[in-house]
Amino acid sequence: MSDSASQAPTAGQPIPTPPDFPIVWDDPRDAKLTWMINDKYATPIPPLVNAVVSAFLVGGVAPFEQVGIGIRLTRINTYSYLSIGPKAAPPDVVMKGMGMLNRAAPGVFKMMMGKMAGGMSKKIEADFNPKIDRFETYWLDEILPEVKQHLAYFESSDLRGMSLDQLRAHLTEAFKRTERMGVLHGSIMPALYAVDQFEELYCELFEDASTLDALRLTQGLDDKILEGDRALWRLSRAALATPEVRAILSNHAAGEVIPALEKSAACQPFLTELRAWLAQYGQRLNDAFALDDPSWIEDPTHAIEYLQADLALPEPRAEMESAALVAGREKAIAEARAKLAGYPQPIIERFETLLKAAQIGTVVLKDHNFWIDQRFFYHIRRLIMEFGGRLAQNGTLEAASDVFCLAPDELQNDGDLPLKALVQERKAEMEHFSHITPPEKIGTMPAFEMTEGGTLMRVMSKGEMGAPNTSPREADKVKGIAGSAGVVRGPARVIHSLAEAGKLQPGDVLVAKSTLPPWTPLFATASAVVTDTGGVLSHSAVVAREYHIPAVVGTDYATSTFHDGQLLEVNGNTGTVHVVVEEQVHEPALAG
Amino acid sequence: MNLLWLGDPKSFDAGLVGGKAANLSRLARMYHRVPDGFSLPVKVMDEAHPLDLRGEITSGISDLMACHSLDDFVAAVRSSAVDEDGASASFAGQHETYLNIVGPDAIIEAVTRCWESARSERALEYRRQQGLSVERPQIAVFVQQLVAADVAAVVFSANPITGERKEVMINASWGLGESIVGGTVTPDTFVVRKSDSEIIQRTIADKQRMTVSAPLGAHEVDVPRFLRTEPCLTDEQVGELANLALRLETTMERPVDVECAYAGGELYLLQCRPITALK
Repeated sequence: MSDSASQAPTAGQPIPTPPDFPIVWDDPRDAKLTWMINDKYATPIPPLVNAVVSAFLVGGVAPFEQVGIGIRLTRINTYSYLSIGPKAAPPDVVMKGMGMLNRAAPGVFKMMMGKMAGGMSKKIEADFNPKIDRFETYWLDEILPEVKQHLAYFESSDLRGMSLDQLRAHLTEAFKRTERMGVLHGSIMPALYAVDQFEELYCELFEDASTLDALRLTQGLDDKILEGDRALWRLSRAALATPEVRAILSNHAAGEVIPALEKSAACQPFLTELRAWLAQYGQRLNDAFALDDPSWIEDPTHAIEYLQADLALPEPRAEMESAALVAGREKAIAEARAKLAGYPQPIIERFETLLKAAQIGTVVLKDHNFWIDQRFFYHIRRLIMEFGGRLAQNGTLEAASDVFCLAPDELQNDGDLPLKALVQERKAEMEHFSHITPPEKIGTMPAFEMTEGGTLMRVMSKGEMGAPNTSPREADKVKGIAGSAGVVRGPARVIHSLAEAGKLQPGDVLVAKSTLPPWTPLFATASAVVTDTGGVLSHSAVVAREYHIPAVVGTDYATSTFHDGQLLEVNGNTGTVHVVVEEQVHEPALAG
Repeated sequence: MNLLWLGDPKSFDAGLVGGKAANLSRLARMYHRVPDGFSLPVKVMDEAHPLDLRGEITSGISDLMACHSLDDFVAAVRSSAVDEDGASASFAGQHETYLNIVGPDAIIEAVTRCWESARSERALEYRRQQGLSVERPQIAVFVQQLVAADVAAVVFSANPITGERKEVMINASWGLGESIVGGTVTPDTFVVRKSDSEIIQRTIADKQRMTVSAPLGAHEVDVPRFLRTEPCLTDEQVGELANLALRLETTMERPVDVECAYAGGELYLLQCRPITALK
């Protein structure tokens, strides 16, 4: 037995912590919960980013709380940890009792869990079903207008004109609105449910149909992200039409393009257009909550990189597959309708309702990201940076971005805290822990595992969260979920962040933990996509289907199994990826 | 003219068009909505091979399409024996029925198969057992518009289980009636008391299978889960069906079993015959 196995914590017992990761619990009750590392943040998370993310989550957990699941976020030794469990955890003795029952009579226990999950599922379905019946109005008339209201509030606030005290009040307001935005973000959960329900009905109605067959009926629809891509491509046509602009884009590194354009009189009209594009579509961060990274407006390097690549494309990336996708979608819809023509009316009606909800749901899964994950958090960053700028100006901080190292209440404090010293302390702490691998799980092992997840968990597992992977870990292959059909071979390219996007060459297999909307243009370069997390409705799978490249998602281990340059075979039909051994590629080598 | 139209007084003669078509013709003429169609009478079927009737069948279908403004004609093709649907012996299921037959060629082919099946071993054996003539099969073929049923129902104007004549019993399930008649689905059951039209029993079953018409012919499929335990009739529809059965019982002067269907909210009468084995 190996060391790690002998130390494996048992159900209901405290999880031992590594010596380099000592834990002091602020609230001792938290030690009784099971905390999982929030793998969205593989690196230490600054306190202010953590505060914004936590405020957002407080709003987002509403649908879970409704069914009795509590979700909490905490920052332990600079890392973000997440706890999911019963909202009001039953007393210890009950938990222990259930743990004992689980060991003594697993069958009875499983049945009990199934009943509980069934009860939760009924609640969730009763809440979601009326929403997906009128999904278009639900999104367009109930959710989106409020999202836009919050954005308008931030767009219209004159940060420069505010005093420091006004900015403090504004920050407090921003936290309130972040919480509300979390609620709105949580309320688009029915979008996933709509696609899930459509896909299940489709597979029930048409024998031998796969999830991917069902999803074909929802593909090729326009969304805000594609709209931005198209507008950027049109900009590339303007660039081609002006020789000076064309020369600068072709001969300069992305980071040097704008200064070069600024110096040339002939490039001014184009620069104006480029700035207009950035104002409209550059309100985005590289990662959903990467508040401490510059937005595309502040640092347009990625936009310029995409623009440079666009110069060579005869039509917008999104357009390249779109005609085929639309034709394929309409053909599949017509075939389904023809098959159902003689079916009872309630089935036809349900099919049409769910098809429409799933189509809008697919768009909402992307559009909400444009409005909330990108735009809203851009504004939050803008506010925080303005605040930091003022503190740097008046000498309270060394640099504007140091503000991320402080907690909200410290920012509300009127000058009697040694903020500079606090910043140094926090930076040192993050630096220290950035060299330490945080444990996956801390706290107390659950007395029992939830064996039945119910509707909510099933729906969630199809999105970014993904499902737990039960396949054993192997040295040169991974098994995940078939996210987009097709089989392809290409060299692996492991990309951890958008900053590494430049190393992706045409034909490479993009291997990533997960992908985000700002990564979308990479799908035009990659020959296939493989991710650690996510289900069939995750960003990676949805976009791969749009770009007609194979995808395998939710493998858990892809980024830690494969390394750059290995020749991979990606099978998007079976959900497997393996390293191609040389003999399989070339003619057998000569003996000796 | 070798075709006899549904509702034409000549079609009231069971000796010409068979018991089933004669029944439906009378009912259609009276007041009920019966899917339209025509019969190929016994005499015609006796003397000609269906292929010789191609021209007439084709023009009959054109007439039906014109009359009901249809883009294509989806038919149920059934044989109807002259001594069938008598009070003593029911021929239910003894002759072939072809559902969801589209276009003249396919319809002619189905008529041919009906014609052949009347002469099949299975049919002759049944007739032998029932003490009917086995020498000259007297069948007509009935070509009728197929109603794409949302719900099919079999209504008994007397309770066939208890023999109680003061009650109407309704079995209903999703899709065409074949799954109920063939016993592959447990239908919803409603019992209505005749005296005050009260629904005295309502059993909603887990209806797992249904027959649907599909481009390649009717076939049985799984009912999607969301619909399985949903009642397939509203109380109003139960009342309407009970009423229909009562009127038919009065007309026929004995307890009847009635096959009907709801399609697009309209109630269609598909078949009506005396209950053969009432306690």
